[in-house]
Amino acid sequence: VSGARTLYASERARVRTTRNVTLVDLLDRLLGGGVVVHGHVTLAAADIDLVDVDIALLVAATDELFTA
Amino acid sequence: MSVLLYAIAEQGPRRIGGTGVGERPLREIAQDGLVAVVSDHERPPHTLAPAHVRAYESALERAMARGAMLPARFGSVLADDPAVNAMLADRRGELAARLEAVRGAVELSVRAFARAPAAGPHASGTEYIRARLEERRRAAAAARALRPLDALAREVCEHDAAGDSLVRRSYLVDAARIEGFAARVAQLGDELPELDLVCTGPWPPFSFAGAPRP
Repeated sequence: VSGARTLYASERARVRTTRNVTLVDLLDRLLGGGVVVHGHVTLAAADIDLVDVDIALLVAATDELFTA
Repeated sequence: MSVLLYAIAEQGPRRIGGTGVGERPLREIAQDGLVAVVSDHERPPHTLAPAHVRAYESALERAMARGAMLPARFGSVLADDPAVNAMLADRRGELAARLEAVRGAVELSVRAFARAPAAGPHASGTEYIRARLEERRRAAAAARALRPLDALAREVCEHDAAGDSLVRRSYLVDAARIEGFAARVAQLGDELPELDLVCTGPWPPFSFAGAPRP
């Protein structure tokens, strides 16, 4: 991910979640934010409510975002 | 051929260059002072493939570097240029107002997690209710604890709590105040031993692309 990163994380949060949180924050925004063009979002995943998706699954699926 | 939408921006002398999803060239469709940043696709992408996400995000970063912009939800596809022109014309007032609101600002995300572990399986209904009440109390306390951040933001957007986070908020912050904001989060993190805080950004103003909630 180009610009956005973790700006701050409490010490304990740093260990367990920061990488995942940055990724989930990105996906939350891509799929749940932004200008909505009504009736024209064709992405299959667009209706997924990310809050219900297990973070580990997301990370497994999109890990290369951070390694590339 | 259909059109994948990345962002709405103001028409300006600097064009957005390079490619977007599927290495398709980015171009602008202009309408009355606004532009839509798009790429053309025979078959628009319909998956969250990492390469797509990365290309999309990179296009947004470039659009953001150029000036005020509103990101589009990932996967927004319109039939053709006239459909884009019609959308820009129909929503001109709303889009122009939001572009004005986000000019010179970025989105920062703050999540608060409870440091104490969440309660395990519950032996009884009473215990379950008690645990739920405790969770709500913690969330309300976390929301109160984060209130000092509101003064550093132009707008605040409250998201539904997700996963194990108690509070999830987006802040629209002047680009010049990012470091000050992060420092304030760090200070709160020190002052609030019961919470773990995580602040990410700067993001394009995803949570502020529509009219603010009343």
